[in-house]
Amino acid sequence: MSSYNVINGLKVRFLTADPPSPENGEVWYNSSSIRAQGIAGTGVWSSGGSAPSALAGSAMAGNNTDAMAWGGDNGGGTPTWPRTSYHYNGSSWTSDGTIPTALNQSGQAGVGHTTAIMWGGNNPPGSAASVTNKFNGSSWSASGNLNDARRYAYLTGAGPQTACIAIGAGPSQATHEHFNGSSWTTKTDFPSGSNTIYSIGTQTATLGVSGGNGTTASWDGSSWTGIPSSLNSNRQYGAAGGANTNSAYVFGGGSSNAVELYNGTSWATQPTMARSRDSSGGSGISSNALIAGQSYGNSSVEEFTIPFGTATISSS
Amino acid sequence: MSLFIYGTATNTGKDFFTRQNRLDFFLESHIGDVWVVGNNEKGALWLASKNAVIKTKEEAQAIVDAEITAAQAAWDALDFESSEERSLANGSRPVPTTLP
Repeated sequence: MSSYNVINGLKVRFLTADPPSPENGEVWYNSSSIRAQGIAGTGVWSSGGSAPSALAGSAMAGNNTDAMAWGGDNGGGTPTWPRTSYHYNGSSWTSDGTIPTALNQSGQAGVGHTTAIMWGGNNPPGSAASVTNKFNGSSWSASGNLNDARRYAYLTGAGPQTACIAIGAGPSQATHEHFNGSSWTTKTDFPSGSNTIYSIGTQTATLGVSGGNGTTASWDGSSWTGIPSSLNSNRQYGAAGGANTNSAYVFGGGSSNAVELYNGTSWATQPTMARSRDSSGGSGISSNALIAGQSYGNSSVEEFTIPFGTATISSS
Repeated sequence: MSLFIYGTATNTGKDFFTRQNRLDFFLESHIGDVWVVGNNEKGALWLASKNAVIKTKEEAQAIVDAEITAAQAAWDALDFESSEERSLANGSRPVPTTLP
């Protein structure tokens, strides 16, 4: 008979009580019984608090209970591009900070609104920006520049502020960089240039999904390996999020409200969003906290949640 | 009997439609505040609870068509040098939608 640590490579943790926020699939002993965290129902999209604007080209970081959104193209040209950033608390949006310049379509990352980070973007009067700006909970400030300027970098990026990932940007860019909190380091290009390359995971385990041509690959910290393409190869200007490369979601894009999940092996369709979303600035750093934001002419927001539950595992 | 009910209602934000709503009945949102819901008791009750104005499928489609046309015109008027630049900056040009 095999044992848990042989199968999973981990030992069961011995705790005095249930952990406060167990991950899906986590198993532990709480001094009286073996307990496990698992999915207790179907993941579903529901309506979130409406965004303060209805613009394309905005960026968003965080999750559906703690997010930050900024930027967006209001059609008025660069002098009038919005600079206010907005914090989402799970039900409503409030202004929180001002981005240093009227950059639009920037890259996006951060696990919550107080650690949002933006890079690149459309730089007035119309060139690729290389600047990076970090939010500290009260204001945005400049940090180390990108090695490769990225003009239409929105909808791309992943990771925490101190270890985020930038892959690609429009038009058809494939360059790949890692940020350490103060500076960027160039990494191996994504296998194919694309206008939007969604990124999920960490700097040592990244899933990259091209929204334009369907190229999909995983990064292990040193090289890219091709994996099966998502079921809908044309989801340009959609969004992505998820816990890791074994729980990665892509959603929307074009005229689609479709949602797909990659489980580390294959893609599967998931419950659809209520509305098709293009250029929606979606985000999400765990599997049950995705958020799909404003898009062109549409201020509605949707949130994806999966009910998790804790159960005792019987030995009989 | 039609599979769907059509109506217009303004999305008021958080919990306008809930997780339970999505599990209980088909629900789609479209431009022009058009909603398409499953033609069953729970779908009908949800539309009523939102003070929705019930439309025929043809009326709802006409609203969507007009809104898409207006959105396309606004998208075309965005100040960019080319359609590709417009797409890169603002996402895809709105496309016609056929309601279910």
